[in-house]
Amino acid sequence: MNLPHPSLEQRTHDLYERSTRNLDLVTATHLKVLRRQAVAQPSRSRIAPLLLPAGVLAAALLAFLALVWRPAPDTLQRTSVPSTVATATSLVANTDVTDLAMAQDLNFYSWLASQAPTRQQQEQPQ
Amino acid sequence: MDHPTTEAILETPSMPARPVASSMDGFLASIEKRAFRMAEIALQHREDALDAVQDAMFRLARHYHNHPSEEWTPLFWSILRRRITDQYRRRKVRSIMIGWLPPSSRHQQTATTVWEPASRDPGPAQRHADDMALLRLSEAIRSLPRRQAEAFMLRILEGLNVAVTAQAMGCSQGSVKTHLSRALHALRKQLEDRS
Repeated sequence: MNLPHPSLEQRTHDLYERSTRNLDLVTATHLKVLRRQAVAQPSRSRIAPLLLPAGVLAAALLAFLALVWRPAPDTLQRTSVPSTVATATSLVANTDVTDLAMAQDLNFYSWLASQAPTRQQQEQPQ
Repeated sequence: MDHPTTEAILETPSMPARPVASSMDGFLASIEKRAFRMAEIALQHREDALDAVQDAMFRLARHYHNHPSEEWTPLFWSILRRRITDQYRRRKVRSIMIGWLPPSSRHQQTATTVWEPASRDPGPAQRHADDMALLRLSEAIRSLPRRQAEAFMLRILEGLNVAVTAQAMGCSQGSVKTHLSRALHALRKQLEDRS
């Protein structure tokens, strides 16, 4: 009596199963090593739950610092109010005066201003 | 010849569902050899197949180890299927690049043969016959369109049911049946007509 010939599906499936069972030792060992590495790798999910809260906390802290922290008022005054005793030369240095002639004029006027009281003092005794 | 009807093959699983291990290590141990064999059939290259299986195992263990173990089977085959597709594309690019090189440098790109010691052998003659049959099957599968080859390998070789195959392939169950029907038709023509 003839046995029914197995179908193509059955034959290919059996061949696949047989070839899997008879896998060579080198490949089987290689696969085992790869599997152990895959299982032993640090899973992303241990860190992932912490990433979002940590990010939110950092953003909130940054926003809080930006809102609350301001420079002290006296520091502002010191930097913004010019000194009343500044000489013409320092004025020149502070401003962006690049014109040499104007700088010389300012030097002259400052010298003139310093000379004026002494002349007045010389004229008074007469 | 007594073939089961195509409808019956398309509807029912070709074998009972395999038990799924509850630990990731157990699951990968149960699937690694079959995954390698499937990747090797698809790629016909040992090293590329090992790369694909390694990547699939790493991705599953890293991203999905918290998922219920029932989901691992379709997820694993889905990842491996994508890796095989990536290897196809990479190989295509590589072949274009190698095509531009002079013939002397092409020889450096060929894979070295690997020494394989004899394992639990059913016998050299049987082993040789199986190797030849597997090679013919592999060539026939590789001549199929990619989606048909995937449907055949997952549904017939791996024995997944239609629903799991559809999940692994990322398509509807109807599409799986269509792809499989066409694949079986083409393979019968190639393998049975030849023999």
